[in-house]
Amino acid sequence: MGRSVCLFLAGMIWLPAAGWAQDAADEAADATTPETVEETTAAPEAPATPAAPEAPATPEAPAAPEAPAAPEAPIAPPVTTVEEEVAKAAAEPEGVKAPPKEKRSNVSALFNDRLESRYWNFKDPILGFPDSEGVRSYFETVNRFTGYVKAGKWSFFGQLDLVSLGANSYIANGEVQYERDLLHDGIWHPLLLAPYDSTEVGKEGWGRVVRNNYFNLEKVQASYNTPAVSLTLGDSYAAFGSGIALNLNRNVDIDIDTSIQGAKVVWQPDMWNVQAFFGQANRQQIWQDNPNIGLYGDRRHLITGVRAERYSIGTVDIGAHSVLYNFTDQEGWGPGFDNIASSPDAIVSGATMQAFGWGPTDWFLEVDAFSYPNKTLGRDEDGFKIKGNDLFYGQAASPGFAAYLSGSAYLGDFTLLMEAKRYSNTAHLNNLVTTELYQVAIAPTLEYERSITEDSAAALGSNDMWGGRMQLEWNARPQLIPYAAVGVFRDNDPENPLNFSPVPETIVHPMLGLEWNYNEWAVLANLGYRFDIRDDVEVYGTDKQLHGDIIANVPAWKGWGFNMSVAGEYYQWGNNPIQQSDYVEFETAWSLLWGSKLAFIYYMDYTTNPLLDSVGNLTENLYAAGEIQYKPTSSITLKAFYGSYKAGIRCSGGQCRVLPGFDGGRLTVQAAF
Amino acid sequence: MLARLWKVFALMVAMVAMAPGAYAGDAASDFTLRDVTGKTVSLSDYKGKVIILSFWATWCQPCKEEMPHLDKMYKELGDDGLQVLSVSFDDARMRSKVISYVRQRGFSFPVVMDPDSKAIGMYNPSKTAPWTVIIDRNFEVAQIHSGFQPGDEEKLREEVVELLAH
Repeated sequence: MGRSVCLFLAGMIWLPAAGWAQDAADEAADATTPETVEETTAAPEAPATPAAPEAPATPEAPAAPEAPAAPEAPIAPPVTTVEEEVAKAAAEPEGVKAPPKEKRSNVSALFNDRLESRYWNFKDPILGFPDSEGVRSYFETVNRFTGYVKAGKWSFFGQLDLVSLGANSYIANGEVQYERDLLHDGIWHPLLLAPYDSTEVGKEGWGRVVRNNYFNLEKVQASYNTPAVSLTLGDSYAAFGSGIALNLNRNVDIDIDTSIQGAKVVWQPDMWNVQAFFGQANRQQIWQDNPNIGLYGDRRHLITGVRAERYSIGTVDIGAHSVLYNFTDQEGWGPGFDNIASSPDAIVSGATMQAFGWGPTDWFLEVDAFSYPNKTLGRDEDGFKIKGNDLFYGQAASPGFAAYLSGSAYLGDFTLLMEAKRYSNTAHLNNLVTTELYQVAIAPTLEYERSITEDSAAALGSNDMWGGRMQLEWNARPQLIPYAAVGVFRDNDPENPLNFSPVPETIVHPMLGLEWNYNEWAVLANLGYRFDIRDDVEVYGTDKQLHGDIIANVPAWKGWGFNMSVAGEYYQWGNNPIQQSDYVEFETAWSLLWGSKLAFIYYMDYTTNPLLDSVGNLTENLYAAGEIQYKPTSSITLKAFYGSYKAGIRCSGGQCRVLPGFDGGRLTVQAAF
Repeated sequence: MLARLWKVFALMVAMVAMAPGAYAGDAASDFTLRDVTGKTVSLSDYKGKVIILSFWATWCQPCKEEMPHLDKMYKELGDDGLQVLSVSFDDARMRSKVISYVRQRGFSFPVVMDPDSKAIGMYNPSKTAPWTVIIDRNFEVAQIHSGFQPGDEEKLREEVVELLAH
């Protein structure tokens, strides 16, 4: 472990330097069009790259036991009994046994690292320089290192993120030009030990390094744990109930990670769980999947919360919580704490009840009250105090509430899932942080996430919505579960700026699907048709969306298998003030797999959606890409990707993000050690 | 330029390639979470057993493929000292779906929920799914697997049988 840590620490130091060297070399090597537009050729000497220290000659790390070659997958029951298998394993020669135990330590550690180098290919020339095709292409390297160390009752967690841009400048008319700014003015720069100011930083030499490289100790946590109490200082996550009042967590699927930086205490005697925290929001600065452009500092919103839960009162668990939000529009450490004395922007208080085994049913109920205290925001021209609320953009605020009920009934081979919700003035809570691309609280949406579009995403952020959804699942056979579902919602919030509909609408969404697993075979399929029926339908029409997706695993021969993932939709718009075009979209991935070791993947996307900001590499609408994934060990993954995929909205965990399209190449290493 | 990038990448690959296995023998970190019926479950409840700690989410199709195999393995090897503990890191808003998903399929192993990323932070901070940690009878981490492809269950089973024998 020690050697690994040393190597990584060396890597941490070395990578930015490698980025600088890469930057300089790129500029020298990529000279293109002379006279008018050319890549920088007069790059300064790159700083000497500190080499990774020589690892001392040691025997191979005591690798986890290499399992003997796997036999052919036995579909039929094995001829030996389990007891015989275990006994046989015990009798194996020493070479295949688990490694001998070293002296046990009270300290344990787990590290993760994900390194990705991306080549962003931009074919378009610089405006006014038609012969500069390809000059805007650039490299981006992102590294995320996490470490968890436990020593007795103490544990420590840290995350270090790093980004480096290469080939990010050119010379036009004799002057160095940067194609994109990695950093926004005002962000604290660890290489400057001061806030970054683009007007003060030079464009060459050290200035080039500062402009194109940035790293950030994103998360730091120290925790003291006993069976009954845990105290955490630094970054922690918190979610209350079903997330309506508070849901700050890491959502890797769409590259969102916001923690609460402060103190958190959890006390959990026998049938109780009581937690309280106080801290400032800590949004991640460096994106792992999105392009890193214009990174800016944290707006550290002050958040305080407390929740108590009492379990097993008969078959019922109950809980109550309250969260105070004090938002700021200023970056840095100070502004959040400056708000301590002022009244909060929002107070959300609520209660939950969960009941198990009421007959053949389970139930969950949450109700929350949203209060938005008006406060003095300043004075108008005549000197009168302006009373309002930040979350209502300085206007007088109105209170809100949320009620969410879900139930499951287990009726023989059938399971009936039911959900109902009513939200009023709840989405205001996210008004300010939405611009920072995350949400502090996420109410259950009841919606099938793969069908969410730019328009229907508005329903997630509605301030006046009610509806319900029912889903009937049938255990037709072991591991074969078809289902039918229908959701009906009413969105009375046409003022939502994200909503394309100028009037309230009723949303009806029937779906069919199935889940089937049999040995190495698997199929997961969903098909739905969603109508957004706008009020005064003769004038405003109806949005219609036909969507479907299927994922299938098919075993082939001798450990090889085939995986297919296809999703598509056809969207017809109602009548919008600015009319949009109907469109068709497909996303496909075809994989040939050799166990978990090796995968060859071919991606092909197609879209005629004019709202997407991307262009295909085969035709304007058609995108293709290939990827090889290799896992030399169970905890290391290497990936090489080349090609193009479309932009699109992607939702996970109730949050949605429009991810940009991509054209170029990527090399990725991910490891746990 | 590309050659230099390749060198950068190759060196990083070499660095991580030298690292795997280093966690083997590390003491497992304990945590306490609530299962889908509200009961308290601690990892240390299963000290002395071989534990498969399986991280999953309802949006993860490979996880759904892996879970029936884990259930089958648990039913076969449970009496010999295997314990499967499944950790859902679904979002808080997915609580109802997790509960109904687990109960409908009737998995025989406990499933706990980790909406605050407590166990996730200890074992799987990158939130990879599925993510499988094998802990031996000495309560030490023996192996970590990321992802699941059909056929992986055989290798997992062999590793478990091997550990059960010691």
